[in-house]
Amino acid sequence: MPAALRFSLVNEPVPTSPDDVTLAARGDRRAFERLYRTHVERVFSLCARMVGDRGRAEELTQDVFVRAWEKLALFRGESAFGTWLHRLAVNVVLNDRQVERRRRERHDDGVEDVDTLAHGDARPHEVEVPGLSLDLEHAIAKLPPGARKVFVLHDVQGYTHEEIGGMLGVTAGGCKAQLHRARLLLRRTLTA
Amino acid sequence: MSCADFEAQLPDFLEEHTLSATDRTAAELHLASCAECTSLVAELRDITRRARALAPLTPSRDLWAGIESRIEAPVVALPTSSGFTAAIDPVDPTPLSGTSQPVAVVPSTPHRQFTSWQRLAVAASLLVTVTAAATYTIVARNAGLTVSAPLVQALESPSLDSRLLHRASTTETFDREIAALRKLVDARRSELDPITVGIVEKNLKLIDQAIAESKAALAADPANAFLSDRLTHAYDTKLQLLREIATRAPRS
Repeated sequence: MPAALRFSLVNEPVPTSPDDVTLAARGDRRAFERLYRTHVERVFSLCARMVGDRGRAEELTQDVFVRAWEKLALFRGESAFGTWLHRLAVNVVLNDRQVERRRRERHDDGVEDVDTLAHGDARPHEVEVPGLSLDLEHAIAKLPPGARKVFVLHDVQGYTHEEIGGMLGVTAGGCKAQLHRARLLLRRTLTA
Repeated sequence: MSCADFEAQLPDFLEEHTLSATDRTAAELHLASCAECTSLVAELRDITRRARALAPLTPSRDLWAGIESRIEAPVVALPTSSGFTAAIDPVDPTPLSGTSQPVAVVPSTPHRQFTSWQRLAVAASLLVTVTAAATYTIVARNAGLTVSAPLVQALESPSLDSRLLHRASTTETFDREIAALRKLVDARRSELDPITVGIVEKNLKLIDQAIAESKAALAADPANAFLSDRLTHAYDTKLQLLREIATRAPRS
């Protein structure tokens, strides 16, 4: 298994029935529903934290599973199903952000700085979760999109800088700098 | 080492195995004498620790129904004005089917590209195109007709896809096939198990109610993709149920 997801999936593996993966790949919707039930919380968590919008995250979670259904026949079992699914989820989210960015670029007359770290931007429908981690969840949701993506992928999901750099099209060094700035912003928010 | 020097090395210091032994020793010496930097490191490490321990989040609703309605959409050859077009997955830009045969899929997020009724139109046309041959075979067999191979082939041909895709209203397309199957089921009613027929009829009433409610809701909110999906799903369920009972063996 790659280093990715070492926190979320290696330390706390989600038991996935290989039979269900096989059955679902053959078109068994009930088996696929069981896979959905097993993995939906982790996929939703990833989407919610990356986009900072619970409503949009629910839509993206559905997109992820629809995409997984379409591509399941191509899953070769070379990695754990959970790893494959999470990587698919990351791609769906990143692709969605790219679409939105392009849309905003058009509407904003080319002026855009989605990765600016100068301030956190409060958004509607931010992630809200009861419990001790509420403040951290809120702080993550308020991060600028670029910093939030890197922080979630690295510190929450456990991807390496090299893997994140490959996903985002930046260098590992750039990813590391972005992560550090995200952590500093979180510290500022949490200690304010 | 000054605080500024330490902070410049802080990203690497927080990572394992990225600072040289000399630099790490110098940084640790600075920490031993600087309460402010020590506090900074502790707080950043605490954020990392807490991030790793975050509990999974739960959606506010069950998302399965929406997923199920979308994955039931068939994947078939879809003609376009410029001929057949390969479906490109924006997440993984290779043909989804993994074959050289170009295919099109009902879009995963069609609400971004189609209106609600356009979605239904495509779904209806594709569904009936895919199943028309099966239904015709069922009806013809039970009517004592011979189904020729060329006819079935014609029913499945792209030219029929094209005609169906651009024909008539959407609900009429669904209703036409349902009516054919319903006629057959009614004709076979006496030879089928009455308990099974009773259960099927009860289920059909529920489905009809769902169809009616979806139509009413869509009339008030024509752009609602979820409602459109539910309507398509209800029609699909009704077709499948009728087809199953139409082909069921007579009671012994």
